[in-house]
Amino acid sequence: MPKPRPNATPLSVELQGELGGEALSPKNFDVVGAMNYVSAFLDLSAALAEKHKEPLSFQGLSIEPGSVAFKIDVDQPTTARRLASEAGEMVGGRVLPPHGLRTRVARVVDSLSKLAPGVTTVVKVGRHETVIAPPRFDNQTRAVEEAELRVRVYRVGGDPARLAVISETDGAFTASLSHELAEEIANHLYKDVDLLVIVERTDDGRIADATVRHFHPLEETRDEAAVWRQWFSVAGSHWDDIDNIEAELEGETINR
Amino acid sequence: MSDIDRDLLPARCLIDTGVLIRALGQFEDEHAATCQDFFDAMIECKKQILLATPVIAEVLRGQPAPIPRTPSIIPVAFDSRAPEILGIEIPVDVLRSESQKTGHSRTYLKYDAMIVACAKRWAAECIVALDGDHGVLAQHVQIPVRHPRDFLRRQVVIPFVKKSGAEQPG
Repeated sequence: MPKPRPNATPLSVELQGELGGEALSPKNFDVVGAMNYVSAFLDLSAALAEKHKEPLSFQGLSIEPGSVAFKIDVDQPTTARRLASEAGEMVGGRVLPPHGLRTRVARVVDSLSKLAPGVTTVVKVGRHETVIAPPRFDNQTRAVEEAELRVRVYRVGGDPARLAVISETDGAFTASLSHELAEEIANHLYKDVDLLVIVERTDDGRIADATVRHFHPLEETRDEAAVWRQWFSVAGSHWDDIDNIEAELEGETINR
Repeated sequence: MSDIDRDLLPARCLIDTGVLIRALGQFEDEHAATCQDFFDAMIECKKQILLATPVIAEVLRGQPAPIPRTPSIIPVAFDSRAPEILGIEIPVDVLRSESQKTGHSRTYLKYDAMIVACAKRWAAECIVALDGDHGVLAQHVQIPVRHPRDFLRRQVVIPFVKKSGAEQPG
């Protein structure tokens, strides 16, 4: 018989709001979409705990009668509260996810975007509540620029074609592209590429929309350092005749 | 064998021109071997090295050749967001005062400031450079500046153990 767990506290992942003019209820919610989101959120929380090397265990799952609230017991409520806040910041695009978590954050954002527009989500641990919402973009874009970004490709397709990527510094965004480029870039799914894009940024610098002009796949080489040294032997060959690099650099800049 | 301590390496750093030239070229000064070992270790450990376009501009002195595109090395531009960092966080007053203190021209410092702004814009954990010029400017954007030798393996302290039965002095 399982031992009682006196420290367990319920963590509740709740979906609230309206669907088709009616209040969201157990009778009308999108089961697949909701489960996909709950799963993505718990996966992100567990990965965050692992990243911080902190224990976090989820036990059991039940649905609160009469609601769309998924209840899971946690033995570490303080950790769960803090990680829920941290996850909320990353999903909202206010904090850059660390290495290894970007795909998980993108999965939460993706699952949230598939819930109906009137649906909001809240995570409760005890009396602590965190709203989990994707970044909000206004339509007042500030600037359009051509940029080159190293991105991880994680979805491409549709008609008109769209590309979904994650950039280390600019977060997740989608871009339109031609069918020809979509077909080519599909060969690089889940890989990093250098993307040449026209981006439209909001006032806070986020990418609201983008159009792909071109992309460069990365070289597959066993000796990356050798590739760069080979490049330098051609593109930087005149440095061979320089004895004092710093004096040369300083002189070059001062004389500019 | 490289003396770089893999555990000390940053996940993502921006390297300065002096480090890049020594890492890629055939130089034999006191810093060259450490710069090469650092560069190689970053790649081996699948860390990210950012090359700011002003750094690339300083390096280019030879025949035109397309910049390689490889997983660990990421060229990063002084794009539309970097000047905002420069203008707000490293304003001209800072450059003026540093110019007076160091004797460097403001043009020279602006170039360094552009590199520092790229480091902030592209979320570098630190700037790896040989000279201290970046240090003061980087303080304004809260990015540490590290020397390649900071990543060398620490010397091990071996405690002196008295041999049993040894004759005691005095």
